[in-house]
Amino acid sequence: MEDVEKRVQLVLEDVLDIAPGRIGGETAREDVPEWDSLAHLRLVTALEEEFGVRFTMTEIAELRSVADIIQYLKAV
Amino acid sequence: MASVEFSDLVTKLRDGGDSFTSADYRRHYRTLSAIEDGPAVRIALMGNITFDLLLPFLTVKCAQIGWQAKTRVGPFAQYFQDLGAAGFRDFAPELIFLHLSLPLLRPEAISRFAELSTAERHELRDGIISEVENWVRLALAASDATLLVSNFPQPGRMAAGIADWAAEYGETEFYLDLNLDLIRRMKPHHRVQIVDVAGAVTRIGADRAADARLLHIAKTDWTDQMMAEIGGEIARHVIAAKGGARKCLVLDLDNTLWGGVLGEDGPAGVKVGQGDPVGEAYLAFQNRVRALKQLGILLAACSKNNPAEVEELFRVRTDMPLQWQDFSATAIGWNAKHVGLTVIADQLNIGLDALVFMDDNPAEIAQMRDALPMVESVLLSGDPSGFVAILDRMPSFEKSRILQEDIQKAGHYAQEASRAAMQATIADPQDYLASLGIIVRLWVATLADLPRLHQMFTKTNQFNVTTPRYSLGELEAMIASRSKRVIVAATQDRFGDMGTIAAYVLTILDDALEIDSFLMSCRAMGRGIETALMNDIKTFALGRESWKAIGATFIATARNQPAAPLFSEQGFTQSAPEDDGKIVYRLNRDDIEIVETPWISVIGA
Repeated sequence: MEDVEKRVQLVLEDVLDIAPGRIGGETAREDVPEWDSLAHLRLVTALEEEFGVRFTMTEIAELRSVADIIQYLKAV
Repeated sequence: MASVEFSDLVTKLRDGGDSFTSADYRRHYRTLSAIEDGPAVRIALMGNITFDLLLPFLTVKCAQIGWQAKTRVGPFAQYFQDLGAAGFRDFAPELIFLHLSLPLLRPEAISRFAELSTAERHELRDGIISEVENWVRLALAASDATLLVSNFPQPGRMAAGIADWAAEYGETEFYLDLNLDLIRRMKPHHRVQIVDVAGAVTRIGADRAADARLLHIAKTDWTDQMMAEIGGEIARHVIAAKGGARKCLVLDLDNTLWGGVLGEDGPAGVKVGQGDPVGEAYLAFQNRVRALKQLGILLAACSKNNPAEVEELFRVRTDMPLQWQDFSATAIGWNAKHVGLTVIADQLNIGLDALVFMDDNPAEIAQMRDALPMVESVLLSGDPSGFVAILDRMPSFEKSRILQEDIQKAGHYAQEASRAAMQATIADPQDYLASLGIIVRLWVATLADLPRLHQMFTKTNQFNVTTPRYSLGELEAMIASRSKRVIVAATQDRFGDMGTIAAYVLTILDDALEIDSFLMSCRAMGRGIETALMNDIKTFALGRESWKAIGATFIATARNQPAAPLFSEQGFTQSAPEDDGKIVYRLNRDDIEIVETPWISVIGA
């Protein structure tokens, strides 16, 4: 399961183009200025590519933090 | 050197193939964004969708063809107002991509199409077309960029289902009609090209091209796959606008043009033709290659075979779509293939960077990439049934218009062979020239000459004194300008018509004329045509007392040595010391002398 967290962290760093270490398990959207609405869409498609999942529109809106993402991925 | 870095990256990205994931695009985009030194192409993106997500794909696709895309995304849905914005003017785009999404442009009508009367459907079509035409008119006036206008993809399924095909102006008919109308309205504009978004959707499938979630969340519905496809489509237009198409396709023979090995199977035994699945696949590939000739792409063959056996095969196999005379140059033998390609480039008098090389053998491709990285080497991998698709996917031969010169291209090289044969029988070069019966016709360029002028300005490397790569828009402005004189020249001789082969641009000042540019196609070199053109300039200069001199500049490039002696040969004197390969010349009015060219009949401007 740690593996999932690490992979989510790498996807976030890649999509948001930010230095390693700024994303942790507690990070929320509002903590990261680069995580704007367009970046959020890039993130969604990147997570879908990485984990082979598909989010609904409601789920896309509800993903507000790293914890939300991990919780979703662990549930599927 | 930093410039090596971009070109290395180009080779890597191009040879990396079509298999990039979205993460690959993001990674390469990040690398490209940190590099500043590639040859830039400025592309403005306008329309009623969110373009930001497209940028990584577009940038990587442009890098794959050797251009560093500099992009400007216009404000959302402000594609009319933005044409007047200072930011737009300062950006000075070379290409402007206009994409209008119909569901966002006419949401009511498109979502309730079934409820519209036939008259309303016609109005809808006309309204959309006027929106595009009005924008095109304003954009042509506001900028000298080439305009790339999207066509309109139809939905994957029509709301009326299969009954739509029988309906009075149904949805299917509406989209076909709309796109047909768009073609006809855009075609007359030299500077407008259609981007086949509908074709991109067809290639990847409507349900894979669009993601309805994105439409509702972010006003764009393109999936990553679709954006890669659109980025690639725009890149094709970049090649066409920049004149960067490669000029010659060099093909291996065994297992490339036919199945089997000539040396083992013999001329009758190699597979190409009807009646055998493998033979039919090679037949299809040969036909596809043959179609390139119509685009003005030269064909050449480079293979490790016994030359006598290859000639024998082409004599016997008259059933093949490609015949011996279709190849403008050949290198058949046992030399390394990179040696063969060098010979072919020399024979055709074009650069190695104008060649594409195709071979079914990975080792040959790897060797070629290593020895001659400027050649685009393409592996024909897997089953021969896939070869046509490999050629289809390559953007390297794209042109915006097919000109008369393109269609006659291979014929020109054949004429050249006849000339060489005659030249071999005449010892004195002057006698040879006199025997050709050369006619040169000069005229003031009009808009009708624009496509060929653009082609010459973008492609001529050798006889080119200043090598300016003018865009269509810049040339159009010069043709219209009173302070410029743009002259084009065509030539013919007893062996045939060589078409439009030279051009020059004069800048008209109050007290002097300045030669802005002077270029000639390499196939017209060596017959003194430049002297006839220069006489035309001199005669024009003598026509007004106030012009005290003709100024000229030579700027050295890696390839334009043939044009270096031009000005001193024509009586100009160097007026300043050479500066970084740039030499400024001057010819005073009193020193102007016409150099007679009795072997050329000149029909004047």
